[in-house]
Amino acid sequence: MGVSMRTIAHRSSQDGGNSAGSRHPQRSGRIRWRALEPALWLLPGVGVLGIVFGASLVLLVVTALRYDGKWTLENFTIVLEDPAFRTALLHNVRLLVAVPILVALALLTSVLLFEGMRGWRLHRSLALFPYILPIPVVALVFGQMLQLNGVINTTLRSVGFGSLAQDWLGNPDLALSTMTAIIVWKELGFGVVLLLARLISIPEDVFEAARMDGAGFFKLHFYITVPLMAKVIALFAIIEAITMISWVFSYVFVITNGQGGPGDATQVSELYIYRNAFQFGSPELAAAAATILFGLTLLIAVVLLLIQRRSRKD
Amino acid sequence: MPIRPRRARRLAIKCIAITAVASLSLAACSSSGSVTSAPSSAVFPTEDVSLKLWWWGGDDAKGLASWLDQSAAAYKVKHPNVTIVPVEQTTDGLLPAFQAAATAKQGPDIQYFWGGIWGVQNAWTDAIRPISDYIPADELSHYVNTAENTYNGKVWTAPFQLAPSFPVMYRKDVFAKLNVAIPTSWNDMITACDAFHAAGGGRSLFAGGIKDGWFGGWLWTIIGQQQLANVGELMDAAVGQNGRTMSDTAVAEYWNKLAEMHTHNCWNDDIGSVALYEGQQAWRDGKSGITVNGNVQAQLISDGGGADNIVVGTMPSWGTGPYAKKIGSSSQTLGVTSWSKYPQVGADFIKFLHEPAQVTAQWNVSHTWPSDDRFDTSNMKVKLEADVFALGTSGGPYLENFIPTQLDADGIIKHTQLVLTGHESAQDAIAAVQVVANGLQKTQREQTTNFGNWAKSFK
Repeated sequence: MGVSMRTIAHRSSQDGGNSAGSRHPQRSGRIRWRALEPALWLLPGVGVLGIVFGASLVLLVVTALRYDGKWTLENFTIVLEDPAFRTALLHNVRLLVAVPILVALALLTSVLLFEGMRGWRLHRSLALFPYILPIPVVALVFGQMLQLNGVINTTLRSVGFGSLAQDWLGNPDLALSTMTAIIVWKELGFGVVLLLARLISIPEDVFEAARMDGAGFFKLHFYITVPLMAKVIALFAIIEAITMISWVFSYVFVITNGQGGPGDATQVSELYIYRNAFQFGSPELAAAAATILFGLTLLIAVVLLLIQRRSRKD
Repeated sequence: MPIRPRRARRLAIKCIAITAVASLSLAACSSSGSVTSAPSSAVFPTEDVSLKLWWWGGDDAKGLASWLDQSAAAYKVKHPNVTIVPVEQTTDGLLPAFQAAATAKQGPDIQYFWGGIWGVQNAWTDAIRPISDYIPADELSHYVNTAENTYNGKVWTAPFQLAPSFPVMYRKDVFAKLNVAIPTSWNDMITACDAFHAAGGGRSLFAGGIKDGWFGGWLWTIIGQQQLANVGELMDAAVGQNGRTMSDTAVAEYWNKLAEMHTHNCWNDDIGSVALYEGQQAWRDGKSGITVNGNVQAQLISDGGGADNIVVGTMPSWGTGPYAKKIGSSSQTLGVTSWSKYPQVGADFIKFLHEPAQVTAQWNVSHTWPSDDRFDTSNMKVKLEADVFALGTSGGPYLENFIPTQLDADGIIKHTQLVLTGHESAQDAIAAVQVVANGLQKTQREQTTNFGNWAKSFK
């Protein structure tokens, strides 16, 4: 190989992957008013949003810090010692483990579609379809299909695979994994569309050059596609990590009727917060849990962004 | 005009500072509550009065909305200056909406509550006024299940709709087909479980579903109450007072009974993955002999082979306590809010709902049982309906209404799911429920004290 795969990817990424040149404005240390004009129009709205969000955050922390009329960290201690909250957090972490699987699946699917699969536009639309379905619809449909005597198990039994039939959502040992699979299925479409859009924007000559260098499917995509798509992959990973930590409430709520069951099998931190705030009349415990969750989400986002920045520097 | 970076930074910091100060101010404003005004007068007002009534239950009883509207119209005929405005609440919105109203001290004048803790806890937060301050004791004595709404010597909310909790429905034809007698004792029931399972074809004695959890609370009442001497004993156990715990035999034997049911395949095999009404399909299909339901709708009677084919009764008994051979009984209630300017009018409307014409209309229009012992039972044309009304008026306490909500949700409901599906032993469930109770005693100290005081009302 005359030019290494890494070199092609590096040059292309320096070029922004765009033969028309970089669209970033020049960084001169001075900002022109004209460039700021759209931002100035938006400023009042952003300011109001900032005030409202800031007020909510202040209220949240104030509520979390009040216990028996005193300022204390007692609510945080109670929440952190609560087995239900620890279980819920653990389940969020288990859901987080699904993110690399989700990213890998989205990448693989988008590459396969990109590699000239016949009717790829149709397949791309099909891939997006689960993502545009409302979560209650997904949860209800899967809730029915995954019953012990539901369509999936009935089909398995009818084709002689009865031993594989399980109580997917009724068995506490399987319920969280089943729910993870449902979430991955739904979120996959978003990843495919996002990654495919980036793939399409990579100049064809980059791939041509690599192929002329003798790169096969695996080498081409491992050394060319993945590095060129690193930013988008990182963005997707961050979005999905945040989803798994703080956006799975709707799935759990609809599938388990707000219980997080069977037992505590699908309890997640958002549900813990909701129940304490609105069902158990413990807003201060809910506020403490929400503060912890907010902090964790922020931490994960920052860590992932730092990793992304470091990899960009490298 | 260019903005220099340092100046831009200063501007940004200023913006953030202004935003932060505004946020703090907004937070401070929104955390302060308004002051309630005292009722204008204890006598009936002559000025125009409009009262908001927040209620729930239209999904379960389609005619309830019409009945309330008709009642409001009839009340206006009696009191032309008073307008009652019923506003239906959603299941998920009922509690949060009232919590928000109670915090702001504005919202409904008359509020719907489920029985027991659901109403009484609002007495602890001064969100409602005792209804017994406005309705005479001899009138209240006719309302069924006032006991569950009694605290500190006062009745806080007034029952209006009886909720028999919960009638057990036996299908004669299914038992006859398998040549099994309808069981009345626990041991007979276990024998029947074995017989149904042995008959094959996916048969089970009971049909139901526990995926959505709340059926666990029903089972706890109809099985778990059988050895209790009184409900105060359970409340003591829930808050760990007078040396009682949730591990005491009278309270905890329920878990052994559930485990026994699982061992003998008493329930449909998919009970863990279906909701109650889905699970009842096995009973409709004639594969199961027994199910449990909140009422006796015409469709269910029809699906079960008609009224003559169905017997309603209690859970087969294992205990010897006063609540054995009884179902639980609760009532949906109405209360007057502490911020209402006309609590006497709200209470008078509630009393009006118990007048013979309204009680009869309640049954005829909404097909819900009035929570009033003066109800003329000849209005019920189907014997099963009268049977359930009789079970309801003579029922024991509905246990879920007497423990902290969190103990019910995290203790009873969750572990019923696990034990009934064989994923947890009775001993582990007993220990886990005790852990939840202990945790609540630590985290909800005020609630624990209130429950402890409330328990005194039942001894």
